[in-house]
Amino acid sequence: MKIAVLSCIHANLPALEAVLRDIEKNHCDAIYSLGDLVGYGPHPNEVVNKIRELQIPSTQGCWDEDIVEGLNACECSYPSLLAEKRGRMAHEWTNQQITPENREFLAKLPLMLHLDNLCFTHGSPHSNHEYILPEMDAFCALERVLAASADVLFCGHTHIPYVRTLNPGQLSVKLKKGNGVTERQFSSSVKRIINVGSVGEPRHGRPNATYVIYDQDTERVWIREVEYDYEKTCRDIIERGLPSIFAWRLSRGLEFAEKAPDASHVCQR
Amino acid sequence: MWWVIMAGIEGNLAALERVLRDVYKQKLPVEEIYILGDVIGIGGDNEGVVERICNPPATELIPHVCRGWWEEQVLTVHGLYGSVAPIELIEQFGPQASRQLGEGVSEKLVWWIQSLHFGFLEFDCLLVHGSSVSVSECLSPETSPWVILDRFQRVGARYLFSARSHSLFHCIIEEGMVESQVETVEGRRINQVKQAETKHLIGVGRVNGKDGSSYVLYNPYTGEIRLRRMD
Amino acid sequence: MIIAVLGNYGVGKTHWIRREIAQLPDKNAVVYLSPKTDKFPLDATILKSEFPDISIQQTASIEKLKDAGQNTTVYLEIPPYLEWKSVEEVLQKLQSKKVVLQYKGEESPWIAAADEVIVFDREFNLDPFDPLEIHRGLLTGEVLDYPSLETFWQELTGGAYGEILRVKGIFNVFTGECIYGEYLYPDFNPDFLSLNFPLCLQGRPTNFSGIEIIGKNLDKQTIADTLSEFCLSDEAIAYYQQQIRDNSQQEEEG
Repeated sequence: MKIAVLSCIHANLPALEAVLRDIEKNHCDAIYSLGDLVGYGPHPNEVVNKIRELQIPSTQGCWDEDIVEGLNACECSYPSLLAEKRGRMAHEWTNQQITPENREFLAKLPLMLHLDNLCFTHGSPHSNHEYILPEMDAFCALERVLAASADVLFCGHTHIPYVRTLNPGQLSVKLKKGNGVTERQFSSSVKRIINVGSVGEPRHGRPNATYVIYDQDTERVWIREVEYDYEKTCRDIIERGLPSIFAWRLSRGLEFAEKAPDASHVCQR
Repeated sequence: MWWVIMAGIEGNLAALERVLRDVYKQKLPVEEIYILGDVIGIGGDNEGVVERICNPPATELIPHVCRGWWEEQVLTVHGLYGSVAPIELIEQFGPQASRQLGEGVSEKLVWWIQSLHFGFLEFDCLLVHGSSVSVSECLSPETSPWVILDRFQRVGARYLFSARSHSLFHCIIEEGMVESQVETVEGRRINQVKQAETKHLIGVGRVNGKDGSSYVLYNPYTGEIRLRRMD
Repeated sequence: MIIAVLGNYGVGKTHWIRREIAQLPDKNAVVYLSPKTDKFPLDATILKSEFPDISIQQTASIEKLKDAGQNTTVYLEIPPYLEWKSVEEVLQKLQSKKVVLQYKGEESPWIAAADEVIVFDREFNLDPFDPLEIHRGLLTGEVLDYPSLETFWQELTGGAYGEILRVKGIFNVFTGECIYGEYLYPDFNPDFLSLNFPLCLQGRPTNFSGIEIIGKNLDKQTIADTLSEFCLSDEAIAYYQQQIRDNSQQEEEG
């Protein structure tokens, strides 16, 4: 079965539509979404409606959570005062736009989804605010996949796609307890972390949308990069009253906002 | 020079006195005393224990204390930490425990608990009640070693002293290795071989243990660890 | 001696003066003046931070300058936007030496008057930036959030608020430091230089701080609005200052 996995659409409808066309061309059997359907972009309801209409299973992203529960991320979520003010502005705008039905839909999104040996989540199994970066310590990365009870962990949140294969690892453990000493060997099987990038808010230096196709039978992964009419999104950002700097950043593939500097930091709510 | 590391006094002043006597009677040069939380508990002499810790006789050291599971429950009950209801506490000890911690803990004691650190990172040692993730996470010999290793890597420590399991043990993780490849959107491939240095997870036992008290002595200059059990 | 330094935007007039001053043995015998910049003394502040002993003049009469030229070296940095006719008259009265800095291949309007010409080893075409606008934002007394400044700098020099030829700025940041940043099209320079002033650890800083942006189609309102988004409040400044004082005290004790 061929599965398309997408994340971080961030209310960018032209990007989502282009990705859906690419998915159709590639004959995928299923689509999964890893959340952050809304936030920053100008089409929150259109994007949520599309996901609902196509019945795409989706996990909840940190932006979806904030729209439901109110913006209560700690300050550390923002790398700077400017990012915080812009984030709040985007949040308020989205909050005003989103319809009650769509808010309800976002509220019910699960934090994790499983399919066979695959797990889908927005940030990490521990938090939808955690960034699993490609350079994360291999042992920590392995722990994230194990925490997801999966062989393949699909995540997003960082907006830069990558595929990381963790080959079988070994550990030897010696335990001293009471008067006894015991020794044990542990090994892990092959695990993978697949970051699917971002459909609507890319950060890899180009404005193109990114997502991933995974073939369950062959275990092959394709990172897809799809061109779309980002100028249309940029125009809508300005026309619908969002800050024009969001349009400028989007057109540069710089993401609407900066990313928190301490990637391993998990927000203590 | 040695560090004395203990936890789980749970308001048992007599047990604390006995452990301290045991410490000082060994005539070891003690540099620091760490108490990894659960200083207070339910039904004991919490105020007396805290008074004893904060104001020891002039010949003794003032211990460093970090937040334990019981202290976190007090903060939760008083609305100073985390979720609205102390779910963990009620699940494990019932609703009357929540009332006891709400009414039976003085304002002064709450204030003292609030001032406690999450843990201590000294040299290459992390000293915490639970783990680098939370006060309530229990690391024991039964915990998956991959999880244990992650808790080390998060803070870059080589020694992790933890109290939440209540047990006294020394678990050594050695010869760990994971090889990985990253493929990027540009089609680049990056190989990484990660070798884990030897890590030591130490369960520091419990002063208010069911079959007597236990604690740990650690020499940060030589790495020597002594698990001390008093029946 | 009086030396007038002329040249276009970004050609390196202040840098040239800096290098000259560095070679002079007695910094007390140096006077610097840049006409019509008294309300926005950006270059003067940079020079003063590096050479605390030099004398900065805001304005001076021709007689006074001539007097000063008798026993000190007077550097007159002439902004390129001043009307040349009147500048030329003054320079003639002062009998100053005229040093012209120009880009490679540039037809400098001051070249006919030059006593010395220094060619910057770089070609540069200012035409795409015509009509040139200058936007100055005075930030004296403000303390900025540094990570925000980095973002703003990237956006500004990347063209988010207009086509940028040149930017220079002196900023007070939450660490108590005063820093300097500059940009010349098209070289992105993300590094800020810490200026040699005492840390400001009490109240608002009093030294000059501001940003000068030269370019085309500048969105001045958005630039000003964005800057004001990351000016820190009194409470935030006091909080950071307290932290810095506590840390330095701990370091002393440790």
